[in-house]
Amino acid sequence: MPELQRKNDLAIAVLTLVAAAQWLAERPVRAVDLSPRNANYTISVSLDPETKLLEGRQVVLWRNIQDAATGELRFHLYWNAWRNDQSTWLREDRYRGRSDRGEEVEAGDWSYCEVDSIHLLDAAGGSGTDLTPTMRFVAPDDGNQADRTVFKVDLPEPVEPGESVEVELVWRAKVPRTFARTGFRGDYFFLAQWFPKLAVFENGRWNANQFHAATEFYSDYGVYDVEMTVPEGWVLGATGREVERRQNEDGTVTHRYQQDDVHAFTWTTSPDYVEFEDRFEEPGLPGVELRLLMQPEHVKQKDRHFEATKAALRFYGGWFGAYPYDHVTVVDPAYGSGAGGMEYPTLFTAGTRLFNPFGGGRPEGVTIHEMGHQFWYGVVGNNEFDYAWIDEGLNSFSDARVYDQTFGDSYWTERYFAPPGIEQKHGFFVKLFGDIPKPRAIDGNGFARYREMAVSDVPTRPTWRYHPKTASGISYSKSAIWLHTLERTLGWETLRRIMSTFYERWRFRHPTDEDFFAIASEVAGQDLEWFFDEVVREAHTFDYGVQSVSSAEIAPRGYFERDGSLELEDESSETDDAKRDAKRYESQVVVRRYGSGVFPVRIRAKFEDGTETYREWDGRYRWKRFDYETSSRLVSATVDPERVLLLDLNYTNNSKALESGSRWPAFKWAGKWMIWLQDLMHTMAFFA
Amino acid sequence: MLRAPALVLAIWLANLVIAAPLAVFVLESIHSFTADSDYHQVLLEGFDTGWYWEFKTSRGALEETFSPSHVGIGAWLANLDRWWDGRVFLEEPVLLATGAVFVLLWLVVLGGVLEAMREGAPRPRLPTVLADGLGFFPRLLRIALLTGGGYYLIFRFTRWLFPRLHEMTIDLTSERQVLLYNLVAAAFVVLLITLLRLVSDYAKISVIVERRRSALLAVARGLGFVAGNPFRVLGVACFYGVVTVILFWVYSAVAPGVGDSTPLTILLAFGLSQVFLIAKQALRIAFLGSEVAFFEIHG
Repeated sequence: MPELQRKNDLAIAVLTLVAAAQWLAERPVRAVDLSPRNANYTISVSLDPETKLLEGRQVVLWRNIQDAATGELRFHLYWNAWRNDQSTWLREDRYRGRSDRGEEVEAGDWSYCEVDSIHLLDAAGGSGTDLTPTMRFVAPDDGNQADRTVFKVDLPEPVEPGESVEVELVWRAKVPRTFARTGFRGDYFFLAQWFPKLAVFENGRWNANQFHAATEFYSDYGVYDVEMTVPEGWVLGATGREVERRQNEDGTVTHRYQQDDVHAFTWTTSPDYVEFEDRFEEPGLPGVELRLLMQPEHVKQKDRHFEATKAALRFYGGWFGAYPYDHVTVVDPAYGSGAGGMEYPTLFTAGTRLFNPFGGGRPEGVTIHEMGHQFWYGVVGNNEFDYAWIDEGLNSFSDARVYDQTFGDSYWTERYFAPPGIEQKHGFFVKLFGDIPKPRAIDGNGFARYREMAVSDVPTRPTWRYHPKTASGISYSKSAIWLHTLERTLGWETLRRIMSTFYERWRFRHPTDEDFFAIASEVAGQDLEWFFDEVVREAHTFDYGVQSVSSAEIAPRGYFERDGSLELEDESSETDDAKRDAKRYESQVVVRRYGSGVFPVRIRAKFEDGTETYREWDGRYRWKRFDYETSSRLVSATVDPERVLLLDLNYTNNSKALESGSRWPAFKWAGKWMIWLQDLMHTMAFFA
Repeated sequence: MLRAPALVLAIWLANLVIAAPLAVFVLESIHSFTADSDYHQVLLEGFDTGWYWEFKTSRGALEETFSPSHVGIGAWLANLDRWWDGRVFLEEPVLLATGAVFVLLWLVVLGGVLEAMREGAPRPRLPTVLADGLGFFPRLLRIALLTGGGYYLIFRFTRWLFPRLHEMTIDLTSERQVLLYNLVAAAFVVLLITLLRLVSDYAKISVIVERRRSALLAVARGLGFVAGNPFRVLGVACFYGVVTVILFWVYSAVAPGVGDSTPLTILLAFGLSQVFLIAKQALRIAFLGSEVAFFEIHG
């Protein structure tokens, strides 16, 4: 019996351990605060869809986690960027020549955010000092006195390190007709950066950039407790989870959402949303509840949205670190709202169209990208004014990898028959060219956009100071491409460890670019400063090419010493057939560095007998010659045959054959172009 | 059309010959850019978007018009799309000039073609067609210019219509609804274009059949004929429209993609596309023949 008792006890212990492990695996990752929680918001807001007005009241509890005191507070009022056309944002938007909206701004389209009062609350939470008279707009970036996107208030006493202040703001805002993916269209409202938002106090000063056309946002982590009142029957989605819902007597409903450890709060509401739910489950990763708000006409694409979201959770989680929240909301924005493709904590917008074929990249690509931002931006909270490449570049690189792993290549698509005379409208009808793949290394990373803007700015320059026309090309595409180059240089596993270490160390913190570079060298176990000096700290062009190739049979002629006597060497005098037929070739390959950037490369020489020879070159000097003496003639040479240096602007010149190829490839493609031209002429004649 | 297949082939050949110099230019440009490189084999077997972005941005304006979306039925869709929103008029001047040469040649031939389709006309011979065509050319050219003026007015109308429609639908959040409104507007515009096309066709036919000398009066005649027989005229047009759609549907199914990778398959692919162009041309001439017959019966 004691033996049986012991076995029973053992069985119970094992079962208990298994159950506990199972319970732990299903629990959220954390049991403690994830972030400093030094900027906490309690907000109450109501939306009037008719007047497009928000009326809000918020209490901000801010704790000084720096080593220096401050005698002021600074806030962002992002919606004032579209208050009038003199704002810094709209001036820069005009300058970049690619309007965010593509249509004229009408009277009802403008927006504002007006703070009616701001009070410093006393310890008991009552209205203490009225700070309103001290409000001043500031323009630290460009001195534009007309810009109203940053204001400051003076505190009666400085806030010392470790101390907290609580301020109450009463404000109202006019919702814009969508700018920068926030605003309304019809009864569809997507509200981001909608409230007065505290800037970040760091390094002894307030980091409060004005709102620029080519940059995004920066704020501290905290707890959000937000009540949003909207008409009854309107579906609402927001950062966080709904914890309460109240029916009001005036026919409105108040939704209360809460979320810990985030640095922004975004919400959306519309009577048209169709809601779906799913759950992400993956061994080794915590479960995540998925909530999908879809437009009615897109419900057939709901599984595509879920699959893409889960792919991002699976791969980002497995590669870099688990998603720390237990829920995420995916929003399918309304047609024409301009709110698609944007990230916010625990909520993001994807974006699709009718007839989007599978394989064209949408909605899967944008869904993966925006879910990926939950990691790069949401959890690793870089300052998007200064270091936009950290989230956009890391994420663009990562999402291309996820897409490639999950779906393979995407394919070339064209949209036809857009309404004439309307800028930036894409056609309603789409054709997928299933035999023209868009591989990850090129199109997944945005090679075309990088090529256009390759040297427009030094990537490590603060993003808000980039040329407005090229910021996206640098932050997204160039960054993704140099990361991919780094992957090919170090290997995926090393890069993965670099990125996962960066994710782990900078979760819920604000890293700089140097933080990433330092981790890269540390994890790689080698000094990578040379890489970052060439690729990121300068605006170099990279272009290696084969300048020339030659290969000639060695046929020595004349008198040569052989065994102590002079012998005449001449092909005609050679009597030994074997010797005469044992040909030797002397081949030369000259490679050149055409660009300003330096990168070590390999050179591959191919010979007629099928052999290949590889040589290394540090790529420093402007050119180098490689000599070969072989029994076979050289056929071709290629510099960087594995295309490690994806930043190389002109890969066509990386290879050179001794003899030019036939015209058949050119005939093939010129022939297709000719068909197009012939058809163009036909159509002209049809109208004549 | 069936009476003179040589005529169809001659027009097709002219189209080919006029396009050939520019195509040779593009061919040599691609060859010189690629012949020595590893991309040579890649382009033979398929396509590479990395090569494409390099080629597009490092060559001239003409090569910039090269696109992988011109494969198969994509060529026709791309052209129609550019006509729809007027971007065709922003094309490279050399392309427009080349097109203008073909248009002029077509107008020269057209008069002879229409003459050959008249009731009782002898079996057409190319020299006769050309001689007749040259005689009618000045009048047909004037009608074409007047028609061009009509197209311009329609173009300006679309530039007014669609932005107004956009403003009216700006608060609609359903793409399906917006598409429906745009389809209705597009159908109206297509109807206008079709009617103008028909008026122009019958104006030209009246020049041939009734030996009219005034282009203005011919256009008036054409307008009157269409107005007097709207449903029959449109019925004939619709019939050929449906046949054209079937032709394009068949071509979209069999059109070569990018997989032609041997000299034989490359030539076959090119040849198949030329057959499509010949069929298009033949259909156009057949339609004109139907219009001539209809005019002679009901005019």
